[in-house]
Amino acid sequence: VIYVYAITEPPAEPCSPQPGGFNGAQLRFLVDDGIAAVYSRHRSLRIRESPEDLWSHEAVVRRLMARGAVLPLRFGTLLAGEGDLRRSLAERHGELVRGLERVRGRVELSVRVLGREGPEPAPGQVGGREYLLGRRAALQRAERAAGEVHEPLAALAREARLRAPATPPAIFAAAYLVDRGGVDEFKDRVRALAAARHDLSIVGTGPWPPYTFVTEPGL
Amino acid sequence: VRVDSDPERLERGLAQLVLTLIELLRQLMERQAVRRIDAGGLDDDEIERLGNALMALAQRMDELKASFGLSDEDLNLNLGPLGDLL
Repeated sequence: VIYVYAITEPPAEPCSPQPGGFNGAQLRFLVDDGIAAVYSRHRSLRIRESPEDLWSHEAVVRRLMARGAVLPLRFGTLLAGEGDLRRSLAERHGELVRGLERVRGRVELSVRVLGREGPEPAPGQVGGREYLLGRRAALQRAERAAGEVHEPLAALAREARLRAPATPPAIFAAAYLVDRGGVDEFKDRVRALAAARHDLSIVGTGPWPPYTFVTEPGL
Repeated sequence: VRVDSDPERLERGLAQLVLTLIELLRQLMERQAVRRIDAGGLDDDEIERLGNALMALAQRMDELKASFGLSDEDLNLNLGPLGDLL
């Protein structure tokens, strides 16, 4: 089988396999007219959703990201062999080229906003009316925070995507596709918002590979 | 491309799908209840009853999530170009 990590721009010169794949396997490039898939060969491979395996996948994507545009594939993408990979690349060639153009020279930055007040009452501790009014207040807070934090940040980004609703205790989470040259300005803006909002805890992370802005991460 | 025939993982996958849909409905009902309060269409008794029902549902969801070892983040489906379900 082969494990496919990402679609990327072809290396400038034909390059020999290099170390870095799962279980010490070498990373190989399969090039098809302006795009390249990065994969490793395995006699058999059992991938687990463990921190180690996720990190191995992520480490490859991050190395590729340092070189150029990259479309990370869904963790755990296994194909029978190079023939299947070549067919997938050919079938989806146009879409993958557009995907690379979309993220070229850009990175993903992510922002989570948490309310600072105490946790909501757990179900069962309050009456029905109090519970429902609490949920209503929480939804309203999330909407306001979303607007006030999201809009100035979205103005600095090429694309933005809200994750709604965010996973509690976050009341808002979003991903932004930002030009590499604009990352510092974006982070400064996040810091300024965080300093101005004492009612919210605003956490920015990244740059990340553009996971959120890959339309179809599978092959 | 992954086929996993481990029965435990299959069961967890099915639970994840079903709970995701129930969670979607729960959140839609909660939002609908909030809209009805905002529209002034509910008296205090109705708010209390609706709140109790939604609270019981939230509690049951938490129990089900815990028993299948699922987190809030697991209860989501990526619908590709349509974005995330929740």
